[in-house]
Amino acid sequence: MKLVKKRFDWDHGWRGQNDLEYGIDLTVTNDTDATIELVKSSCLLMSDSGFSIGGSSGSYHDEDIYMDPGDVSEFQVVTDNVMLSALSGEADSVTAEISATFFSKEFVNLGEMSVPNDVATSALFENRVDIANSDFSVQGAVVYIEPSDDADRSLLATVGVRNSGTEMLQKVIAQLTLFDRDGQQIQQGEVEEFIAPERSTILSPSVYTKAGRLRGASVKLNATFFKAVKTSGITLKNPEKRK
Amino acid sequence: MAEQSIELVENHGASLEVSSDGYAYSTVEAEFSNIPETGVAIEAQIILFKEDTIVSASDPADCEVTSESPTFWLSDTFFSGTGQVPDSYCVCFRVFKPEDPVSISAPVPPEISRQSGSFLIHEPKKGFLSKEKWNTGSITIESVIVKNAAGDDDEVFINLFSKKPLDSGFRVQAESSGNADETIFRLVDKPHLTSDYLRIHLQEDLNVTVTGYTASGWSMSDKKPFLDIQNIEAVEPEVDDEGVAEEVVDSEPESAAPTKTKKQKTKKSEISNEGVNTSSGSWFETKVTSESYLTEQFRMAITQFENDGPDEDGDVGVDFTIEIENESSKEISLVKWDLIVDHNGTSIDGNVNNSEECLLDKGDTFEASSYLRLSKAYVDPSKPQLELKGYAKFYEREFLKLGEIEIPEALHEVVSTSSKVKTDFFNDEITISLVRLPDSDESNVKEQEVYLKSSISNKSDFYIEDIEFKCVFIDRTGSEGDETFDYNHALAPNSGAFFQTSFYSMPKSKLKGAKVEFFLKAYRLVGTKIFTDVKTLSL
Repeated sequence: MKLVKKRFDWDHGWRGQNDLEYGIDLTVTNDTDATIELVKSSCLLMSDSGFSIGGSSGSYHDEDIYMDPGDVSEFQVVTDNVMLSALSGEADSVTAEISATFFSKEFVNLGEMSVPNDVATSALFENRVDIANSDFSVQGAVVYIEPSDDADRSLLATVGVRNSGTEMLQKVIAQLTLFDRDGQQIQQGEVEEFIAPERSTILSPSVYTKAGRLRGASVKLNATFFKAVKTSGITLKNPEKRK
Repeated sequence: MAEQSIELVENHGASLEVSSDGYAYSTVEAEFSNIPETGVAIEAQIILFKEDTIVSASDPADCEVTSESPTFWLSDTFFSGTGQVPDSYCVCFRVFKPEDPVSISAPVPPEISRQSGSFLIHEPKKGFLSKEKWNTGSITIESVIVKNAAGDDDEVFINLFSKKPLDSGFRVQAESSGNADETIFRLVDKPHLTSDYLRIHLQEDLNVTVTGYTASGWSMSDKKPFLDIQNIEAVEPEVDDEGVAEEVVDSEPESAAPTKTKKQKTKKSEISNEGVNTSSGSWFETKVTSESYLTEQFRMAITQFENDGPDEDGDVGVDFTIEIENESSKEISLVKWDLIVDHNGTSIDGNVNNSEECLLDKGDTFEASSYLRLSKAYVDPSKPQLELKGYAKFYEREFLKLGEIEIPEALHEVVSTSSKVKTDFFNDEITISLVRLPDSDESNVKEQEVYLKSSISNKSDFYIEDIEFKCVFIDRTGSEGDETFDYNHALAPNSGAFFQTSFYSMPKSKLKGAKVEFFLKAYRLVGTKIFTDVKTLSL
């Protein structure tokens, strides 16, 4: 997964003459056997003295891409603006140290069941699904109606996910879709999580509707796992002034 | 049954005046017998015949009758021309029998008489498990309001709910230390109603008595001939000129009846013209449409009304909840509603264009909550009543699954699918086409676009609303991806619509083995409801 610079430039940021924003676009060639559907990137912006003056904040930045083996794609690396006061040299003296991890996607359809009749019953998804070539698995799920005093109802799912390996599960999405009795999609809820090695967690997507619409309704549950395929890095120097 | 023994025994003073300009003015004094000691209320109308054909029926009027005062005057006016002069009449009536009254004790604290005016709201006491009931017949009293406007007499009125609107009535009596006032009988013509105001000087605690009335079925008297038929001269119409108006005031009492006749004639004439326009001006079969729309089979009420404030700016926040019950046999899938707030005779705010999908079978209820902020400038604290007008529209839905198309590998290849559908709205077969094209940006060779097109025709005789043509992308693993749709706000009877939409910037490899699923959703209006209620702000 060779990373190639497509753009590395700078301009003044929203604080006018007080800050700088750096723009970074990379191209990548999928030299693996997997289909890549997600990239997570991170970046540190280094001064000419060799210490960090900025970069990507938060735990990660991710972007949907789609690359079959051999395909070339492009993605953006997002960074926070840098205060001019932090720079000892010129704007073009900054170096960007970038790493990117590429993920394949595994989609698991856990099935479709009737909505429980009341708060005393639940829809049980008793199937356990192991994700191929990984230590990730779904350990079943439950969908239930949250007790309510009014005419509105929330349906909650608890989807048990286990990571029994030593590799981080960096992204898993659970999705709950509610259909009315004619099959029209009423609402969809999803949540995402990351799971540390040898840990488990539940994901709890929920949907919300009027009680009457639950009559004869059904729910569909699915989960999407993103498995890291490869990580690559690149260091960019000498950004240009944006034209 | 008491009401069955109440009979129309005599029709006194039945007379008919026919004016020279073709208007017939009839009056009948109806007398009833077997009236119980409690008295009853009567709602009645006169039916006018020429030979055996009904030529006019008056609007119903109501009146209380007792054994001491058993008669009731009825009248009707209509344009008879020369060929429709009635020769006989009958009286159509029903009896409202009083139910056991409910007596409500309403404590009145001294603050009621403060100079600046005051306001008291009495509601049934709420216990831990139950709520005190203020019921009389089918009527439930929701609150008793005592109002003291500075400088005026004290006023008392009630807010009530009737389970049987149009088949129930009520009267209210209020008493405070020898001072008393009462209303006359009033027909309950809608589920929620505010009584007329009683004026009473409050000295000690107030006692309010409400008597509910329940209606019998309608009865019709025997047909009787008019024995007193007179021809009269028509008078000139009243003109809105100051000088002429003075002449009318100064004129002899005899002229009053013909003048009234003339006014009513004008009104009748307008109604008549409307009727002609409606039938002759229609360009499609409106009767089918109008029969389809229900107007009375949805119960609508405000179940919660609370206000806070006034805040620092003097604005008043109002929380309210509307409850709608589907009493029709239709399955309701969409409710659109608007709420308009009137104060002092003008509209001051509203919560409009609300639309919520639902599923209401017969007997199901729908709740909607909202919040309004009333500007200080519009709220007169001395008259804290708000008239709330609710307008609701009820829709049934058709939802059709139209199948799927696998995305072809080749560019420019148009593929299509035809679905036979069972539908009351559309043509029975709906065809959809799909084509895969290069990206609009010719330099972007990695991505492509997928175009989807279809058409429908409304084969019904009614308007179809909110039509949505939805396409869902499913990748080769079965994972749902993007959705795209086209929308038509309203489709007239016997007309058609074309839908087109697309997925753009789709990676070529993502289209491999993928498919698109198609759905069509539409709504048809099946009922409407107009609702009014008066609520009082706590200021």
